[in-house]
Amino acid sequence: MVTTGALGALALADFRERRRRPAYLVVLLGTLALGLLAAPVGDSRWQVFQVSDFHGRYTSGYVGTVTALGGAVWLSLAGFGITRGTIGRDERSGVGQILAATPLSRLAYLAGKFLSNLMVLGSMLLALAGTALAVQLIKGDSDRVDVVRLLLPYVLITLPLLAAVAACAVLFDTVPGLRDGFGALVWFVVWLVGVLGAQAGGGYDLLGMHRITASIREAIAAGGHPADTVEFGVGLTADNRVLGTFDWPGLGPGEAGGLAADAGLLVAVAVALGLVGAMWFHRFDRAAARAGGSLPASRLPWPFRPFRPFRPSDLSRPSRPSRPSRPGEPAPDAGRRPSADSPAFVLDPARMTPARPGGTVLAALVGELRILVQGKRLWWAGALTLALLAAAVPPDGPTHPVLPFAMLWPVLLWSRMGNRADGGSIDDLLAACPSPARRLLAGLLAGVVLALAVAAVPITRLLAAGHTRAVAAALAGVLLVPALALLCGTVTRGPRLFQSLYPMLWYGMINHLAGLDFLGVTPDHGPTPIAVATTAAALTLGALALDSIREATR
Amino acid sequence: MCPSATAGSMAGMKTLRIHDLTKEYRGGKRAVDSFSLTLRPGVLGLLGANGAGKSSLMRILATVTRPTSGQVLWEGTDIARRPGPLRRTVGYLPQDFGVYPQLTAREFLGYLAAAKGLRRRSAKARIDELLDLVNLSGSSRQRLGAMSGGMRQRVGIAQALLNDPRLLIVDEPTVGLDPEERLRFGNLLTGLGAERIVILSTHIVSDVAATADRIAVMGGGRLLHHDTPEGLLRAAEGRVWELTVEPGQLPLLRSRFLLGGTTRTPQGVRVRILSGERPAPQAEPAEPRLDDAYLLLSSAPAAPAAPAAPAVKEAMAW
Repeated sequence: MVTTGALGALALADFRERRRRPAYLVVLLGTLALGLLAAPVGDSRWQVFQVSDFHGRYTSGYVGTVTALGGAVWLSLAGFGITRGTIGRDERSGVGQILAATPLSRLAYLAGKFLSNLMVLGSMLLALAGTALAVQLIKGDSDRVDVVRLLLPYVLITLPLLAAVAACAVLFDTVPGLRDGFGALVWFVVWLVGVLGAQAGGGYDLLGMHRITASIREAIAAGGHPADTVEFGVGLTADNRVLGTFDWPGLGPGEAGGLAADAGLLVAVAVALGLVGAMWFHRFDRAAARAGGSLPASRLPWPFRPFRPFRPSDLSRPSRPSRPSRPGEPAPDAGRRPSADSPAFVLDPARMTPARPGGTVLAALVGELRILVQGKRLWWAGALTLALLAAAVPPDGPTHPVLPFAMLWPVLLWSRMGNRADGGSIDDLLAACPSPARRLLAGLLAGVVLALAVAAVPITRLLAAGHTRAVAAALAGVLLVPALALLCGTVTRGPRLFQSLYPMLWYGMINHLAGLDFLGVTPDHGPTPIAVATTAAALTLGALALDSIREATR
Repeated sequence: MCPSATAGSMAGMKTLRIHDLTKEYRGGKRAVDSFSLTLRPGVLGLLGANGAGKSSLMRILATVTRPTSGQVLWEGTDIARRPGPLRRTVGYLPQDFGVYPQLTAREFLGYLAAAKGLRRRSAKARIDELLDLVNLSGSSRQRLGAMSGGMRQRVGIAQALLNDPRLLIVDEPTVGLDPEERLRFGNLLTGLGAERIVILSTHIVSDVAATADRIAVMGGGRLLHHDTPEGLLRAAEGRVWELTVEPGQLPLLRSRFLLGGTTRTPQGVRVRILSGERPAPQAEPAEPRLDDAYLLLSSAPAAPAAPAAPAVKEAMAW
C-alpha cells in the first residue's frame, strides 16, 4: 500500500526533474509573456481576450479573468507538450524498471505522474497569477486588490482544465501510438476542437465563457452601452481599433456555484482519464504489454511506432530473436558465439584502406536526410498523396490550397532537427567529430530539402499560373520552417518545443493572422518574402550561435 | 610514454601532453584534479574506482568537454582552444553511446564517416572492412534498433576506428563482448598501440594486464600512480600473503587487512592478504598479481601500514 506521502514524494521528484529542463523555462517564459499580452501595461495592439470594441478597466477580477483564460488556452497546448513523455523517459532512463521492482502499484505510479504533471502546470499558473497582480498594480486602473476575484477564475476555470490536460498527458503516455509525435498532432486537434467549441454556442463550455460573458454584458449595459451586439473571443489577435472601456469587477463568490460544479465534474473526468491509462500500462514489462493485447512497438505501423533510442541497459538484456532483412541474407549473429570461421577482431587494421579526409557538405547532408526520413514509408505515402492532390487542384487565386497542409505534414520529421533525442546519448560520439557548424548546416539543408519535397508541386503550379510573388512567399516559408525547427531543437535539445510551437504558428497563418503568414496565404497582408527569409536567416544564425556557445563552454 | 609532463620539444612525435588538468563541475565537484601525463604511442590502461575521474578525463581528451584549467596539447596544439586537429584524428568510444535505431550499421557508420569528414570512397571501403573486422558483415543491413547490445558495442568499436585514429580513446570497450571477443579485442588494441596512442579505461584489471604497456591509476581525480605493469608488480612485491583460515575468522581478517581475494578449499578459506607486514606467523608470501598491485594503490589510505594488533596475532596463532 502506497501512502499519500510516498505518492507526494514520487510526484515531487518527477516535478523537480522536469522543472530543471530547458523546455520548462521556455514554456514558463511564454506563460509570463502571455500574461503581459493578455493584460498589456502599455498601448499594445495585441489581445488575448476580445470584447468587441471594448476593453475592461484593470480591476483584480478583469485582469485575473483575462490572464486565466489566456493561460488556459496556452497551457492546455504548450503545457501538454512539456508534461507528456515522462513515462517514456522513466523507461529510457531505467528508473521505471527500478520502480517496477517496488511495491508501487500501477495506479499509484500513474497517480504520481498525474500529480507531477499538475504541479508543472500549476507552478506556471501560479507565476501567471503573480504576473496578473503585478500588471494590475503597475497599470493603476484600480488600486483595490481583490484576491478572491483575481484567483477565482484560476481556481475554478484554469486549474480544473489543466487537471484534465495533466490526466490526458498521462493517458497519451500509456496508450500505444499516442506516445510519440503523432500524439502531439492528435492533441493539437483535440485542443483546437476544445478551444473553438468552448467559444461556440453549441460546444462544451470548458472556459466558463457563458458565465463570464453574461456578467460582462451586464457591466457594459450598466455603463450605458448597448451590450447585445458585443462579441467575445479567446485567442491571440491584434486590433487597431480604438476601444471603449467598461468597469467589471470580475466573477464574485456569488457566481462561483455553477463554475465550481463544472470544475468538480472536469476534475473527476480528469482523474478517471488518467487512471484509464492503467489498462495499457504494464509496469515497464514489455512481455506483459504484448500478452495484454497491445502490439509491440516494432510491429506498429508508422506513425504509431515510437522512436526507440538505444539504452545502455540493453547491453545486459538478451537479444530479441532477429531475422535476416532480406531473403537469402545470412542470419544476424545476435547472441551467437563467434565461430572459428567468422571471428571478430582478427583482421589487421593496419592493412585497411587508408582513411582519406575531405568529406563534403553533400555527404553530411545525405547523412542528416537519412536520419530524418529513414524508415518512414507511410510518411512518404502521405507526401505523395498531398503531391497528387496538389497536382489535381488548381491554385486558388494567388495561393494554392494544398500548400499549407503540405507544409504541416513533415512537422514530426522537422521536430527531429537540431537535437538527437531519438539517438539516445549519441551526442558524445558526435562531439568528438570535427566541424560541428557544418553538421548543423547540413541538418538545416536536410530540413529544407524535406520542405521542398512536400511543397514542390504546389509551388510548381503557382509558378505555372504566373503567381511569382506567391512562389517567392512559399519558398521563403520553405526556408523559415526548417530554420525554426533547427532553433527549437537546438535550444531545448528535444522535439517537443517545435511540435508545440509550429502547429500554433501554422494555426495563426491559416487563420490569416497577418503577422504570422509565413507562407503568403493572405496576399498583401503578411510579411514580405524577404522579411520571412531574413527571419529564417536570423533563426539559423541563432541556432549556430547557440551551438557555438555550447561548443565553447562544453 | 613518460610519467609526467615536462618542458621540452617533442616535435615530430605523436604526443599527447596533459598538463595540470582540472575539471570541476557545478557544485564544486572536482572530477579531475591536477592531472599531468605525457603519452606517446602505446596502450595506456586507465584504472580507478567508480568516480575516480576516468570518464571525465577521457571526455576532455576526446574534446567532448573542456577542462576547467590546465592544458591538453596534441602535437603542440591546445585541444580546448583548437579542437579541430585532434577531432580529425581521434577515435572515441564512450562508455554509453546512442545510435539511431532506424539506421542499419552500414548507414550509421556512413553517417559518422561524413561527420568525421572522410571522403566518400575511402569511407565506403573502410566501412566494409571494419564491418568485417567486427564480424558484422552479415548483419550490415540489419537495423541498429534490432541488434543486441553486444552487436551494437561492436558497431561502436567500428565507428571509433573509422578515421584510422592516431589517438584512440576507448571507455569500457569490452562491455557486452564475450570472453573470446574480449581477448581478441585486447590483441587488436595491442597491435594498434604499436603506432598509435591508445587509452583504455576499464574495471577489468585482467584486460589491462593483457593489453597495456603502461598503467595509470586514478583516484579522486588525481593520478595516483603511473608505471609499466612490471613496475606495478615490483611495487607490490613483499606485500602479498596467503593464509588458510576457518570461515568464521574472515570477518576479523576483513576488519584488519585489505583482502585481495578468497578461495574455498577443503582445509578452509584460502585468503590473499595485502599487507606491508606478515599478517600472521602462518601466512606465506605470495607472487603479486596486477589486481593486488591495483588494490594496494587504490586503497592506499585504508591499507594497514602498522603491524597487526596483538588480538589479531592471537587469533591467527592456531
